[in-house]
Amino acid sequence: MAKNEMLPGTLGMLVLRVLQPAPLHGYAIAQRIHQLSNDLLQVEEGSLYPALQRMLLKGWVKAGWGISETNRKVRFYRLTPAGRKQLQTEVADFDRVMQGIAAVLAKA
Amino acid sequence: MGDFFRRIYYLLNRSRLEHELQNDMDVHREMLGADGRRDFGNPLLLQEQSHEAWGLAWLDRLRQDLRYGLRVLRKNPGYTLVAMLALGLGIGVNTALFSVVYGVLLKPLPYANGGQLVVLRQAFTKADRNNVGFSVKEINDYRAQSRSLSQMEEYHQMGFILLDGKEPQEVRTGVVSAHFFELLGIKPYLGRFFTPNDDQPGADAVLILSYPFWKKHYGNDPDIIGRHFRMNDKIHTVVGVLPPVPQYPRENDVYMPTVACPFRSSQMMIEDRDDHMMRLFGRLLPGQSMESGRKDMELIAARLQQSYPGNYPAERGFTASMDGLQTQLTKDIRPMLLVLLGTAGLVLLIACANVANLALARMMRREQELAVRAAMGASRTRLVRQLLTESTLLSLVGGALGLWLASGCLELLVTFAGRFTTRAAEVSISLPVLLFTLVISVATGLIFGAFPAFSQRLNLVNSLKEGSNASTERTSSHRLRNVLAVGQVAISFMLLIGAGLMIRSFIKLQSVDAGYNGENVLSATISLNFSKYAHGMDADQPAIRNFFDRVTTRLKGTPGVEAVAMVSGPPLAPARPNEQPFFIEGRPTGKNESRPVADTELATPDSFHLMGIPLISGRFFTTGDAADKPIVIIISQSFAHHYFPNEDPLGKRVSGDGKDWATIVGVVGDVRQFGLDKEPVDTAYIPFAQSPSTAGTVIIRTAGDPMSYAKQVREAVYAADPEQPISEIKTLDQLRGETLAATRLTSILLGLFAMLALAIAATGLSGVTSLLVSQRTREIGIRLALGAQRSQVLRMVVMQGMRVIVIGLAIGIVGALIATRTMQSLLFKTAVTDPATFAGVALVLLAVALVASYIPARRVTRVDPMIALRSE
Repeated sequence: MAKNEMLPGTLGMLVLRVLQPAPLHGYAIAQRIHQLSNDLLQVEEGSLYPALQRMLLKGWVKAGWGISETNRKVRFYRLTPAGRKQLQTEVADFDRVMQGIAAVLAKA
Repeated sequence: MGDFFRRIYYLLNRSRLEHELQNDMDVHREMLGADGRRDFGNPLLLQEQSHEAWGLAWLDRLRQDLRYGLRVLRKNPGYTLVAMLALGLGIGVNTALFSVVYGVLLKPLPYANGGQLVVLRQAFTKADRNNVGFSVKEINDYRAQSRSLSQMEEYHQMGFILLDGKEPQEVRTGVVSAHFFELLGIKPYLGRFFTPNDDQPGADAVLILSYPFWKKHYGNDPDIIGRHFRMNDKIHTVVGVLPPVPQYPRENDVYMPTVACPFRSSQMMIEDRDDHMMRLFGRLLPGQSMESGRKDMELIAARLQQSYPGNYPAERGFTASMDGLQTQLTKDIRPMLLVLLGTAGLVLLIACANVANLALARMMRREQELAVRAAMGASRTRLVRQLLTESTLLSLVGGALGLWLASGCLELLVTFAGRFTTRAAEVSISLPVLLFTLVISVATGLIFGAFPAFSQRLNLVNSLKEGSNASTERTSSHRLRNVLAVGQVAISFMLLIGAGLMIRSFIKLQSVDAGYNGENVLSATISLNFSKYAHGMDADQPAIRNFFDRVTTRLKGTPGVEAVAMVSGPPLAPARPNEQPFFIEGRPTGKNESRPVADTELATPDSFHLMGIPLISGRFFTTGDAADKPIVIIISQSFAHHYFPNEDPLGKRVSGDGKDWATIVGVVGDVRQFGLDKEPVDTAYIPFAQSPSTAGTVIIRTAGDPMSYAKQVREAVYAADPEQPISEIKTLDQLRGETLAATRLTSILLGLFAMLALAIAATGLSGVTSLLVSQRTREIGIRLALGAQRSQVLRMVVMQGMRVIVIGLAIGIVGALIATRTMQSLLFKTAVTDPATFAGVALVLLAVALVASYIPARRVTRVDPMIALRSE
């Protein structure tokens, strides 16, 4: 796996996670994931925006207007209670899978 | 807010949301640029991918397909117009016929639980009397003994004279038992229905008006309840108005209870088991099937036969049965409607095949366009969807056109259906009809669109190479076009056969010699006020004679009137034979043996001559055959053949009651009194002077247009009795025309459908040949260059077209032999396999097909070998 690609299916979880402390706009989400992963993960715009649209549709995030650092009007995405719940489920699922993988790697 | 609603929200706020997303991405890109990072990517693609999350992609594609489809159709106005017209006509005729089929055959009766309503029927099967009605005694028997019916109500129709100040008016009157309308399960529009008290002897006379009668004559006046009308001699009080539902079994103007009818309430009728005047309706008990109801009826009939062998002689085969009201009401029109609907379906099929053929031809020209689109990344499903969208768009426009056509000709069809069933009034372009139109439109679009869409095996390389001859594909789509053309020929042959048979039958029916000459004869049917001209069941003979004498005398003195006479009823008017049993002198009938039966008709000395009925032997009536002279009778030829096969009937005596004997003084030619398609019935003519009746028809032969004498006839009647209306004034030709009207209209409709089909098929054949020619131009050029004669080449091309025609014809013959079997009941003395029709139609089709393929084929003779060879 190339270093800047992500495990499939985890982008949504990461987006939800970085939105947990505070609302962010699209670019900031990508930046945040990049920074927090110690520059290991690179979020493709081609994945980010469709993913955000999907989450809006599911009601996990809500969009509201705000002002960017560059002084532009832009939408900030905020986690909803449903999104919070979804994040927990996804993290729990991910943990289980990781444990499983780790167990296999250790014993085999 | 659920997922679903959010999607709808997105759909509704689409442009704003798109704008917001666009803005997000712009900001993103700017910030990327500020950080000196790589480019954002293809924003358009990104946006499309994001939209896909909204689940609206299919809508986008549909919109694109529609927009593109519309553009394509607009750019090919010729193709669009032809296809739209063909589909519009096809869908139009189907919609129109389906609206009739739905309104008449499919729609449930507008009555509560209409499926439980039944019509009861008694029959003397061995005497060929399949529906004889019920007598009062029988009605009581069935009421007492039935186990399958919850309710039974009687009905008969009479003409009463309504006198309310304006002109005297004969009104169609339904005479019904008290709970007749409750049986149907309808509610009064105004006032109330009858109660058992209304139907008691001595009760005040009451009246219920039908909705159309009330509307037409009393302008929806709600104060009609409580008004008094004089009907014949009795004053009736209006107690109710019916709702505007179609009336069964017949349309009537007013209704009255049975006690108000002097005949029905006469002691004589109440006690006569053999006077089968009434009709009987019933409602099946819940859980009872038609089958168990029929068994019940048969059982009661068998019991009656056992108890009253004199009334139900075994050799007449007495039985009783029942039918669903809905079936009964529509049985006369069902076969005709189904044949017409089937025909319309075939027309649509032809239209479909033709448009598919057109579309295929166009497809060849579009090969390159499609190849380019495929090369640019359009998937095969996307291309197929595009083509189907185009064809469905076309067929929907055709459907709209068809709907417009259908609503235009609906009135004609309703009038047509009205001759057979009162349900015709229920025909309209209703919601189910609209649905039907929508469904067949979409189905049509998908079917004819499927041919070009799936016949195309896209071969990018070949198609992109301009001018290449993708020969293998061409052959396969060519074969498909030929198959479609064969189908068109076959179907149009079947339709032509159907129309041909119907027209032949119509011509035969029209040229039937009815046994009389109706030219310039006017008939005026008069039902005398039976309260005035009869005392109970006994006609006031002097008064009746006096009335008709005054009318005929006055008419005889009218200039232009050449002859005046009287009969019981004009020939070919809708009526049933007045059949009476009789004795022949010297031929006793056994106790349980049935007596011979003949239709009795009244006549005056001049009636035979006036109507051109020939004298076979003996004499006509004379003025000497008066009331106080020996009774005489004239019989028809078939009567004579039947009962006096080997002897001279003249001088023989017959009697209706065994007491008064009438001498046969003449034999006259047979008249088809009750239908051109029915054999003449045995008829006994009785002199009007010796047996005057309250119902009679005055006939006059005139010098010019007989209808122009209607005024004089009316004046003569009013002069004799100002309170006496005329039931109907019609010329004999008019009456004859009316019996033919249904057959004529069916013939015209089938003929129109067939011509339509032929025209469509001819253009189809033309197209096939013309394509053949254009594709073989080079080959033809070579042949010509090598010395082939132009006529030879022409023959070759035409023969190739003829192959399609001959195969189509062969299939059509087989198809027609199978399909026309359903038509037999509509045909008069014409076999469904009528060889003359088959041969004639085949010739016509061959001729048309030959011309259709010859015209485009002629182009080969203009081919210049040099140009042809260089053309590729």
